[in-house]
Amino acid sequence: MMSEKKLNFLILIFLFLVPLFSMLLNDIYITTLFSKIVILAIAGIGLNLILGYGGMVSFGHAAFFGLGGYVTGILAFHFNNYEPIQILVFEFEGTNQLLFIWIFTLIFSSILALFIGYFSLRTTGVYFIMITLAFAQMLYYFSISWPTYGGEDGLSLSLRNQIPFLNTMDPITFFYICYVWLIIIIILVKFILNSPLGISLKACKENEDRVRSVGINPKKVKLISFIISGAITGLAGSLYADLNRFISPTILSWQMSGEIMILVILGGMFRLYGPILGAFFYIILEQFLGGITENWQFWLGFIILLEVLYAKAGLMSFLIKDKYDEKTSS
Amino acid sequence: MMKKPVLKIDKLSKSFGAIKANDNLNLNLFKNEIHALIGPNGSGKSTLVKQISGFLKQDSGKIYLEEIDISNYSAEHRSRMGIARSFQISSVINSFKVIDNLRLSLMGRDGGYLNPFNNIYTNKDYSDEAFDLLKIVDLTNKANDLVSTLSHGDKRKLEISLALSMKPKLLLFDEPMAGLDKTSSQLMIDLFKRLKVKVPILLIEHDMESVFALADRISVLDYGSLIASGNEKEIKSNAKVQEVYLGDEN
Repeated sequence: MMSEKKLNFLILIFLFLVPLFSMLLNDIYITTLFSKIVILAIAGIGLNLILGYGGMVSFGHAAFFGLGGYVTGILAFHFNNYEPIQILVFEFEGTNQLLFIWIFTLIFSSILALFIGYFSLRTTGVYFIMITLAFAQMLYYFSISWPTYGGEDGLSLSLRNQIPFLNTMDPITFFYICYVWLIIIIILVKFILNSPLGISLKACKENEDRVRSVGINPKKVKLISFIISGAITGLAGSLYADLNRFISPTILSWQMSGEIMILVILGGMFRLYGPILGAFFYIILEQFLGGITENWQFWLGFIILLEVLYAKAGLMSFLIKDKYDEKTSS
Repeated sequence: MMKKPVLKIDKLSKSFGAIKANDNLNLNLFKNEIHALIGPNGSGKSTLVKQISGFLKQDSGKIYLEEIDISNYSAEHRSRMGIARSFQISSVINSFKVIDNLRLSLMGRDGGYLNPFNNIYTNKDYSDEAFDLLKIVDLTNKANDLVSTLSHGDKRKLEISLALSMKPKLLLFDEPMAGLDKTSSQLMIDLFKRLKVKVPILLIEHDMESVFALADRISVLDYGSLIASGNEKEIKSNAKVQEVYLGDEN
């Protein structure tokens, strides 16, 4: 048992040392596996901002994850084929430069989140879940029927996109790129949670009438948070596309939304580092149980069932001494 | 010269299906006064407060704050303009500390609540102002307590301090004494007497002892209509009020 701060610090140190363990064990696959964990953790932190702190159960975050992936894939595809991207009468060049790709990903994910959030946030509860799911499924079916970018078969990238002076094809370099993004996202979300927006979001989750009676518009608070959440998840999707050098409609499917949500719940909602722990256990369980049985998802479901019944605060609560109480504010 | 009201309700009506909650209601609230609104359960008092504060849209009629027509303004806009309210059932953020509830309202009052960067917990101005507000309601010793651990009376006090934090032009208190013991009620009465000098209060209350101790003017609602308005003596001697509300009490 330790304090939450100490556990958070240990998680970051452990992740930082992953490539070293990988080299010591002479198994570079470990680094690639942990790149996936870090990327899913980023997506989870994005979702947790609105799910854990804002009480908005979005079952459509695959839309942002997938969009991030497709923006990355499409820009690289056009760069590699020397074909401009045509939108109406306009033509744009593709690019393989990650810095530009990330900027485009953040912009497009934010716009999509603005659009989905604007309509979805008119509803609450089950209707919110259904409408976010519906938007994601619309994109999923659209991607299946879009032959230009591989349709159901997806799109392969021959090489990872690039950053000047870095070899992104090197698994360790790519892992640290993801790791730096994780740190940036943690810092960003920590800032947000302590900011006027963050405190308003937490208050909206509990009592919108009180929030309105002190002059705060809950819809605006939720929409801005939804956009930030979508942008973060989109960024994770972009990294995921580069990690696998492949994108397919699967990353837009409801299963992907469910996967992100599961790792948030598994690690512990309401805690910033919960999704990191959740992503770690989710991927490790997938690898471990997947090696034993084909039906690993059945056992994963069983574990989640136990957790929901006996440890609602997630895995974080097992490891730290200041037990989570939902009634804790700052 | 005629005194201008801080709040003017002009022919306000609200129905829920066939039930008329407020029927062509006229009401004023002037500076330095406590205007009490009484009436049996279901007479439309809380519906009126909800319409004034913007939580419920009127079917017809107008609401004026210092001569500005606010009838179509949102609840949050009205709050920022200076209409502060307490709720019939304590409505505070239970998962927050007492002081964080006040930080929230101070920030809401000043706008800028969409700012994702400034650390609200280290803002000294807000902390100082929050403590000053807690001092008014005698809650400074519980500033860092979780609201969920507060007693009912302390939650009521917190609600009052939240209303005051908005630098209000008028206060709408919906049964603030409900569930309070004698001592706490007396504290509230003393507090409201001090407050009315700065901010006029529209008070909904069932505890007639408190109403008569506080109100400069009393209006009586029945089935959504105003049946009487006047001072304590006039209300007590009004036969219709006796019949529908006060009964044998007095």
